Amino acid sequence: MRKILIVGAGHAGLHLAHGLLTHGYDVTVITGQSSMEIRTGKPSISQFTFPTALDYERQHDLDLWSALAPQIREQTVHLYPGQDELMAFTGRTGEGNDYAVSVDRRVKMADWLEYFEDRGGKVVIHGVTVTDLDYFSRMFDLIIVAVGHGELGQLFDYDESRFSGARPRSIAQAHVYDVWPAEGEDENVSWAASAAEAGNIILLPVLSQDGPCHSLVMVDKRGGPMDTWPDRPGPEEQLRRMKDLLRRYAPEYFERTKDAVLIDGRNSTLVEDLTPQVRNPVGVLPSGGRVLGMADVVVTMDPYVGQSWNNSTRCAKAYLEAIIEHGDQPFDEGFLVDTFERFWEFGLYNQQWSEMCSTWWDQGDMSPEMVELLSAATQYREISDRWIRGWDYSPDYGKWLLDPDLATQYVAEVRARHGG
Amino acid sequence: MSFRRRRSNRVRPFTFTGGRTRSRHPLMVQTLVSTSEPGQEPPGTLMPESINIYKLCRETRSLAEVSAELNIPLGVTQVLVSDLAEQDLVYIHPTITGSSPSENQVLERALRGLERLFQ
Amino acid sequence: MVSNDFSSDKRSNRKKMSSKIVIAGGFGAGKTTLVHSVSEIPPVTTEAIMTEASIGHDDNSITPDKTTTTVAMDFGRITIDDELVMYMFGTPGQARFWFMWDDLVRGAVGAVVVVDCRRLADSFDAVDYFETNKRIPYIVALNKFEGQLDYTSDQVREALEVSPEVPIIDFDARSRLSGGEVLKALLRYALEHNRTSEPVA
Repeated sequence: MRKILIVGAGHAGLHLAHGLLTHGYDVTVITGQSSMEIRTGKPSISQFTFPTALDYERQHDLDLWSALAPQIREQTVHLYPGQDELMAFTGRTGEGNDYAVSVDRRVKMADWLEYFEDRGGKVVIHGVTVTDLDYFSRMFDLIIVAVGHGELGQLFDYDESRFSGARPRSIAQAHVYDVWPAEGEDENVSWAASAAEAGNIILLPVLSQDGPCHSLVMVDKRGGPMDTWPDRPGPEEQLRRMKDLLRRYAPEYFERTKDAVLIDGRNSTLVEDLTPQVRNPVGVLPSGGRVLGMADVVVTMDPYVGQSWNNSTRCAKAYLEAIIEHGDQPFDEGFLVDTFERFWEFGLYNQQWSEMCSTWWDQGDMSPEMVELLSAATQYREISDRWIRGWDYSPDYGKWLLDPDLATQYVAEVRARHGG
Repeated sequence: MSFRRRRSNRVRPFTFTGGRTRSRHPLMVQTLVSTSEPGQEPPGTLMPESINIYKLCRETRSLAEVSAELNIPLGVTQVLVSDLAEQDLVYIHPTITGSSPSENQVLERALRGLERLFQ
Repeated sequence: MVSNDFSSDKRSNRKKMSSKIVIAGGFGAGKTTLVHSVSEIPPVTTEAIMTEASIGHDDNSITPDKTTTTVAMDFGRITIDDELVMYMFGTPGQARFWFMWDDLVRGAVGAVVVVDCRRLADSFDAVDYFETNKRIPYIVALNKFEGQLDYTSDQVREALEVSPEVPIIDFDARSRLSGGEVLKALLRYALEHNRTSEPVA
């Protein structure tokens, strides 16, 4: 059977590794951290698994936590436009009883890695150098590089044709207990805010190693008002500052988190910088060999849109299908390029959506079309539901939200239908 | 507020809930490797590097020694050995890490050994 | 040469196991000298060629030139008895190759940070690595150059921010017996450490 090497035991790489194993491929995962090291290591930015991605995971028996994790059936968006009044709307995560979950990467990746090995996958725990990859290119039919940003990422050149420019982000996150539910609201509703004067905020229920808790995430421009972390404060001081920022820029969030406490002393907070970017998916080795990058190796998105794991699941699915369909033909450069394109049919819309969110307030005010759209979302559940469901499947945004004309037309239709 | 600290909420690792106890020993730079059937010739289907490892490990060696003697990077050596182990062509020896109390006896033996060797 | 009775040979052979001690410290502090003086074989030096692209970066906006660097790492061996072999691995001097350190430290019984008192600051990164990760027990060994030390162990503890429970001893890296004392001290501390610390889940 064809031998495939996956470098990196992240969300995309492990999903693909399991999928390939199911289809009888000889799969080796090489990664720099053991499952124990993942469990006791640093936290990462909280991520959603939306209903369709959950469904893909279930197809490979990879959804091990839905029974334990808070099930997010509704999401609320708050916009703080500065001088004007707060705008807020709530929408359903998916159809019917569908829900999203957010599982701490340390729980999910460690379990997926152990499960992969249990199912007969080969796992090698060792750092990987470019020299190693040159060797591996003779030993394997296909090499997929799936380590997140950093390390081998530099094999892949920037691709400015798919991206309008890097905007450095500063991120702070805390895992906390004792968050108050909003009045009359289920505590499993996830909240996301965007403040004109500052950055973006997410307050979502997550499953951590210590059980269900909340994750509070703040994303701002580097040097922006919510980037108060250059001195890398200790965990308690970080949470204190986060609350202080909420009091100032998002009072509704402060009301809910004012009594929140960190879930443990050591690894419940993170501060990091991140620069969104898109890279060329095909990496060239010194020997001339080719490797295929996947998910956040190629596309690093603004964390505010919470699409990183949605991207990685969709990418894993697209790659799996492409590899299976390709049969015994050689995995040449043409195949690698086409395989990424197959994912990009989805990823493109995510990219546009994330850039839209990153630049919401860059011109000071929102465009009149956007203000009209937002105000319609606060009035009509049909629009707010569609808005929230777009987080599961952003290509739908291409039919309205991402195009001012189509958006205006859609709002007019909804208003007419409701006799407005 | 229902999301509070409760010990019973801790998420148990997969290995404790659904997983098998790992039957194979993990590979590390100090892990000893020996050819399973030293008297047999290596299968002809192996890559040249794997054949060399097969032959070299007729006498037990650590992964680091294999890597150094054959001049193959450590990570690559691990992947090759992992493949050979998968086919039961080599045996991976246990590694004493001292991380579990059950290994204390071996550590004590090591200490006594050092006391004997360096006196 | 090779025994004819492979089956019995195989059974006894399979009882063999190994363990590992990591020898860390600043560049030129005496790591290689220590490995050399206690090892039963001449230390083996392995070189890894790294492209700068292999080096982990927290910030991926940095695009380093894809140049290559050679990282040297050496190891030695002590056969404790018929069934147990102990390896000593010296870490690469350059602290920036952290991910290589992770590979070396994974599964080690413990670590020795060798400190040259004339250049304390050079060992700070190594101490910091073990203090921050807390994965394995470690001790600090002050290498006596010219038979003397410029600082007391209390001064070293304060300067390098070594935790109170971590033993600091002095030794002469060129002496086989003195090096052996360091290894024994580490094993005693590791045993004590295992008894007092909770097992990790």
